[in-house]
Amino acid sequence: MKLVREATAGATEAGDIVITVLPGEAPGITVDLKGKSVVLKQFGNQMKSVIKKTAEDLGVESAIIKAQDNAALDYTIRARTRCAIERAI
Amino acid sequence: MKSLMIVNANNPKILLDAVLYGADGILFDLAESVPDTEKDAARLLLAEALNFLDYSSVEAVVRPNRPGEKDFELDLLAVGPAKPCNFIVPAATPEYVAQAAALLDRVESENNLPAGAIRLIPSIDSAAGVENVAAVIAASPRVNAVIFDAKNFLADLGAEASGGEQLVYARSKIAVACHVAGIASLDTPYAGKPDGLTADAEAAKALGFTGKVASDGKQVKIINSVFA
Repeated sequence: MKLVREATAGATEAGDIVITVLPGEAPGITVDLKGKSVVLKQFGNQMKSVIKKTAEDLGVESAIIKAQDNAALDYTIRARTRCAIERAI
Repeated sequence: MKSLMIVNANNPKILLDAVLYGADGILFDLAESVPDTEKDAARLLLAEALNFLDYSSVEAVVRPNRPGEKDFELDLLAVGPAKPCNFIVPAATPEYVAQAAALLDRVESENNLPAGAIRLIPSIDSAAGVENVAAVIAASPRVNAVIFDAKNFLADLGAEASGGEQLVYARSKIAVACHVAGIASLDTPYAGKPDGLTADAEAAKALGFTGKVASDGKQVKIINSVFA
């Protein structure tokens, strides 16, 4: 699956996450996650893993994914990542 | 089901908190609560939520967009595999109920779900819907309840909302048809002053309704009490 444009999904409200995806310039998926440092310290790697796996499961081979977390749970992270990717193809 | 509480299906925090209000059912709204630009995001979020969160203590009811709009089919095909208890059929006619049932046949077949497991709740929101309510109910064996939508019914009639009496005929016709069919009947959400909810719910119960839609969590306790 090839991304052809930048696209965003999600919101800045509590419990949500804003995911922005851009076509990558090189193979691979890079995830830039921002949020409360206390949350990222404990759950950051898990959240990045969920984002990356969601993209890989959709067949994305090259992408830059920026995420602004507002205490989202896994199901929201998956849904917003998938939505942003579907809007970018 | 005494109370069915409406929640915005595109709000993660509301989806997480929805079971805390004591409603028998949660109505996950993909239609009126969600702007056109977020329809895709809402159905993806709801499908993930139904798979991830524990809604086993409530009846999970999904309100898709109206039949005839492109989002109706997309809603059923995206959320159906997460196996909600029911889909509402907005602006229900016998044809729209049959169309929804056929889509669910496909969803269940493609996802190895038991045939007929996902049920349908037609929403009666027009004069024609009221007159044809028995035919709407008979359009599919999946139908296990009916919702009355007074706001859109009155708009269809061209009448301004002026109180419960103008709804007596429509409410009676729906409640009687549901009773004859042996299915639940859920009255329209109450939109007046808070102190009028009890009387409105009692009026619906007196005409034979078995429950009522709650606009928010604050209405649930009163509705549960009236229909207990």
